Amino acid sequence: MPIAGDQSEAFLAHIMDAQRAMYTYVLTLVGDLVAADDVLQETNLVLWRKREEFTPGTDFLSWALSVAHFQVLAYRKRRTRDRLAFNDELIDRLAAEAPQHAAELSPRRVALVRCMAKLSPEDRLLIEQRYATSQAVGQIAEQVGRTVNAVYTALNRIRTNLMRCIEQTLAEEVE
Amino acid sequence: MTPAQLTQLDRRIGRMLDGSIEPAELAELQKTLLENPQARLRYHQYIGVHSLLHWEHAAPAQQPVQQPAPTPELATPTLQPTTPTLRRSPFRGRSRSVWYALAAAITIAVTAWFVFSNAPSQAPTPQPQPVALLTSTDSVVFADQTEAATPGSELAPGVLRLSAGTAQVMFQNGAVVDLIAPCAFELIDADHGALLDGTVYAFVPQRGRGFTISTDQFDVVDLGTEFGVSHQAGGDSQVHVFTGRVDVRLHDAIPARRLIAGQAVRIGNGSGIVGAVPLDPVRFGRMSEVVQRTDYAAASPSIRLRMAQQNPDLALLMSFDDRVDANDAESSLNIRAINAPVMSTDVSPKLGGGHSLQLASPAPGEAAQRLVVANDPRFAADTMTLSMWVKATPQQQVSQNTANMVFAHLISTIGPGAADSAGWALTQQQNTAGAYVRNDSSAAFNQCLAQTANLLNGQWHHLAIVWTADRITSYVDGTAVSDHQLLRGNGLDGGHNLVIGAQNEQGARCFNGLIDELAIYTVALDASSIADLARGVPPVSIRAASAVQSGQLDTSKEN
Repeated sequence: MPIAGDQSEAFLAHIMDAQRAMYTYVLTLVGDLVAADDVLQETNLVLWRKREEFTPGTDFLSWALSVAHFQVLAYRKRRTRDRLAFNDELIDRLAAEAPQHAAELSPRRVALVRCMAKLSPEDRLLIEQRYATSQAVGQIAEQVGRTVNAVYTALNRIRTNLMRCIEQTLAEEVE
Repeated sequence: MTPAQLTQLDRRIGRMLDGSIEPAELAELQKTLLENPQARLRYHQYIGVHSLLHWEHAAPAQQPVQQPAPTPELATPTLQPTTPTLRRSPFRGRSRSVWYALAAAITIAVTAWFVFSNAPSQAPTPQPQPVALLTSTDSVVFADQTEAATPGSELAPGVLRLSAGTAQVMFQNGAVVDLIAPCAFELIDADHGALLDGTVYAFVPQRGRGFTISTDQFDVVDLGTEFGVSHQAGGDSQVHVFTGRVDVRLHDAIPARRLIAGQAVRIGNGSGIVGAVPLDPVRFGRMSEVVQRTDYAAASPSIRLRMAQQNPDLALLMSFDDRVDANDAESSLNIRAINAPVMSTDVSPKLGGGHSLQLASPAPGEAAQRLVVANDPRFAADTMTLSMWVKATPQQQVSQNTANMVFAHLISTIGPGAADSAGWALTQQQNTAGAYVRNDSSAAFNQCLAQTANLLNGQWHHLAIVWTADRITSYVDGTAVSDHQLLRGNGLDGGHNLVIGAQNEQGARCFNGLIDELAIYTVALDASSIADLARGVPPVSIRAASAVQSGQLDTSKEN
């Protein structure tokens, strides 16, 4: 049932604001893009169902990530061990570190926009094909007339360059 | 790590995300991440970049979607039922899936889902376009539905038939509609539904204005509001407006009738708007946003309640209908259950169903079952009305756990102190079977109000007490049985918690029987409102406005 409009709107704003961080957190732990989407979807639903339990004024992201953590564990239980990217020990370590990184996305997002502007047109197109239209790498390879491996390598190079650029941009801002 | 190692690490993470990593490489990646904190830092950074790219490119701009102006001439429902197609997120692509997931979880604002639903799809299918999303269900049973309907399912035009439970549907224009079984509701398009039979409640955000619910007799056109419609095929209908306003457009009459918040009307089959009816949030499930409790045994030791309630005259409302209701949107009430009183399905026939609170007489030496509500100054307001349904158990006398066995307390703010402590209580007296209201203070003690009211006949009775500045009036089953001058003494607020079922938190002088629909108003209700309550009108629907208009309360000012 809908709760009072104001409360729902406020809760909605919290969920919207937290999506990037929640996705990052989940992807960090599951290491699988499709699984991350599914777990995020389940987490959103659980958060909405539990909305009465959230106390306004408290740390929403922390609460949301704890819910996401349980959803990751539930996902791992469902999957056979051989289909999991990481073992429990690594998951525990990553889970302990991930909230901090997930919570620091905002400045990185601003830096990313600047760094994207520095990409060559070809690289920017590749990123857009991969992320904006969700095309499979094989599909992209066909379109650009390159091998699948070449596209993988190029995407990886671009992401690494963007990562370096973001770190550099953030470091310059601190100075 | 060396630059070469970092490059190798990046490549492995990238391949993992792209799904092209070999098992041996994955094992190497895991080993590196486990052993090397620097590698894990790099992993977090890489995932962060990927995540940001994913969101920056996948997420549409969150800008308000311009809605076309609502069509003034709204079509009547297409009463040719087809079963809506449920489509369970077949698309596995990341961009849509993420926003789809968000939309599935959110029942109020739907910009993201709307944008995606209107974005050109990669692979057009011949399936009808979805017009709504199933956003939540509660014990729902869909008739004629072979496919599992789970939250997140997209709904194409057609009829949803609920034989049990509730379901919530979010239309593409943002309107959220609760379907309360039994119900047949047709999804017509993105801003239009038809109620074929049953009860629905609609919440329409600003951007969904113009959303319309039709029946075969009339259309209800939203003007930014929350409203409920009940419709019996071939029978009467009702429209209740909780916030905002709606236009009710009868198919065979002009002009439209505008209803504003707080108004409710009954519409006859073929006879138009018959007249006003009391606003009834219970009918439309508006009371179910509170904590679900079927048994107070589970409510230990303390439960915090929050309730978005519509009646500002209410200081407390406990309906006991599978939940604890408290009329306190801001501060929450703190209610404790002691010795696990239970819920009973024995209710007054006039209430038509639900549950009551059952308080059993304890064995000698054992403490009573009772509920404790945190003290609230509104429980000792200058003007106040107490309303409750009571069924005292006749064969069992007043509790044995108290030495003097004078009164069984139905509800009390007296506290554990001396007899002259401030507070009030409604009691049932032993042997004489009367109802008393006791106002304790140094100057006013044990005011007897209705000694003649027989409560020990095994029947349900409605009791009401109205306090004004210096009068106190009691009602049994809607009829005034006493009217006395009120001696306030030191006042009614002794700072004690409100106890239901005993005199105080310690459980002394407990009540044995059933209590239901307990309400405390911070206003003095008039006789007609009390009569409405005694007829079974939900307390949440009763406001003081009629009392003020009638002037029947002015007697208190003349004394």
